[in-house]
Amino acid sequence: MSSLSSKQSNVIDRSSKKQMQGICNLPRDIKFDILSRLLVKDLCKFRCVSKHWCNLISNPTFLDFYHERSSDNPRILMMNDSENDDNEQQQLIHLASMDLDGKVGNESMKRIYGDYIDMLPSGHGLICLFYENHFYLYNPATQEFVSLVQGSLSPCNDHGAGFGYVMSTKEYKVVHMFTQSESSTGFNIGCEILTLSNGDEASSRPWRVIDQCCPYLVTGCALLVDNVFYSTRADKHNNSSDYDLILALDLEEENFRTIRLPNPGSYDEENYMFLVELRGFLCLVDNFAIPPMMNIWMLKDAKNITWVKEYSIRFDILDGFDDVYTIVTPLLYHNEELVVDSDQDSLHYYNFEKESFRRGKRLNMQWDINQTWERPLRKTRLSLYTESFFSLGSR
Amino acid sequence: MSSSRIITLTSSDKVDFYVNEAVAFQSQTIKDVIGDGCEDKGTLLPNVTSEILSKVIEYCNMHVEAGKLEERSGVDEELKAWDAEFVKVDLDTLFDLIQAANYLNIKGLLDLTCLTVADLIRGKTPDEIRKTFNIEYQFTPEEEEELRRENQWASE
Repeated sequence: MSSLSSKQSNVIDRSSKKQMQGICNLPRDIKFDILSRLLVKDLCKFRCVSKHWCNLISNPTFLDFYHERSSDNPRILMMNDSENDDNEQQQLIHLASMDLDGKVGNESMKRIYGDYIDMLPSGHGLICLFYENHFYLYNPATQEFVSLVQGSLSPCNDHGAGFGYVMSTKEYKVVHMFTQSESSTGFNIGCEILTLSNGDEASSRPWRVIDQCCPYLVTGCALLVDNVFYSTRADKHNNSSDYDLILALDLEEENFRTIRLPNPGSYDEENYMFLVELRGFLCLVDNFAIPPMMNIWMLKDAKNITWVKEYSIRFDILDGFDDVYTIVTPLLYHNEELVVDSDQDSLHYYNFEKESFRRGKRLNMQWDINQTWERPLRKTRLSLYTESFFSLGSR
Repeated sequence: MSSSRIITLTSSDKVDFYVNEAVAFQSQTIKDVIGDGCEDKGTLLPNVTSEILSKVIEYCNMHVEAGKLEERSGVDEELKAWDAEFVKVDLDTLFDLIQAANYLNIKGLLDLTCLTVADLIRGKTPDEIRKTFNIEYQFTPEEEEELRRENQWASE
């Protein structure tokens, strides 16, 4: 009899124990692990599941862990815009976030001032959009969208910009270059910087004009690597021995210097070369080598200017590659593959061991949202970002 | 001269399991405790019941076998499909498996089970989550209102 009743009490104990067990009784590390696999938007929603979950999700240790993990899981931000109305100079843009397989997360539509809007990734949580001296910041994970204070004007309407994240200080930096005047002797280009920390009211952050003027005309967008913004020079000197064609803006010293290209004379100067960041290094991509090939030079030592030809990748094995028109952009080095954007409806992944490309899942490039597009769509563009809780201070 | 040893693992409810060394060593914890070469005198696992231990061993067995198969197309997919079936268990068992994988330090199993729970959470409303995981609702109406306001955008 006593054994039976004790058995009964065991049964009761076990079931109520199981009721209390479950997700809340898991070790904290495990709870972190599980929650860090979710998107920011979901996690913010789940704060109101219970006090415990609220504390867990707001815990600074969890947030650090989350950001570390999300930086290993890049996602895509896709932007669509249309030909704009000449009268209004208003631009309707559509932003969609998705994972590398094209599974869509958030969507936003915004109406902003501008014609052709440039998209600047940071390699981290935020994306910057700009047109002339109008700048916008967007966090795809939280869908917070903010206009920055307008930048300085340029009488010749010539503007350039760059955007990046400084890991050591957890700040975002925007750089804006504006041509103030040009003459037979050269260009007078002003340069200003905007710095943003988590929780700052981004819309009221000021621009700070730096003392030194930018000595050269640059093309493309500036890239931030290790607290230095790099751009390629647009004004190649007629003197064919001038290969100092990369401009570096050191944010600490606030000065400009030029950097020699790797292995001058080993490629055609008319080649279209551009800069990307891979594995934390500045890289120069030479897309038009013969035979159809991409050479990627890596600036291994920024102080002593040591370039290494890190990758040489043949293009003719990339399906959909048309050697005249295709520009292949390396996006990042991920899981031991090089992820590239070759202007098709999927990303491609280059495997160094097999020396071959594999095609990623097809991405939805056509966003026909209830026929809200008033004018023809321009070409879809995409950047990579990582999920982050970074606040732009507008909510 | 490597003949695969047989390791004895004993669950909390005193059931003995005899497994190949390769299978047992999927657990980093067991690998560290037993070491190599010396005679195995049996290892008691006071935190793992026989029900859970047998599932864990089933997982380790399958993954050791899969590792031996020659690389051919489809092996990865088959293993993924097997894993997906393996975690089709009730919630309590799933959490027990997580605890066991954590205690025994079996990375693959821990990853798989955590991913499964994350998939269960994703896409649910807070209310559905409370129901699924039997979580008590603890906020006062004022607290709930403030939370909802702060995270308004997340529900849009």
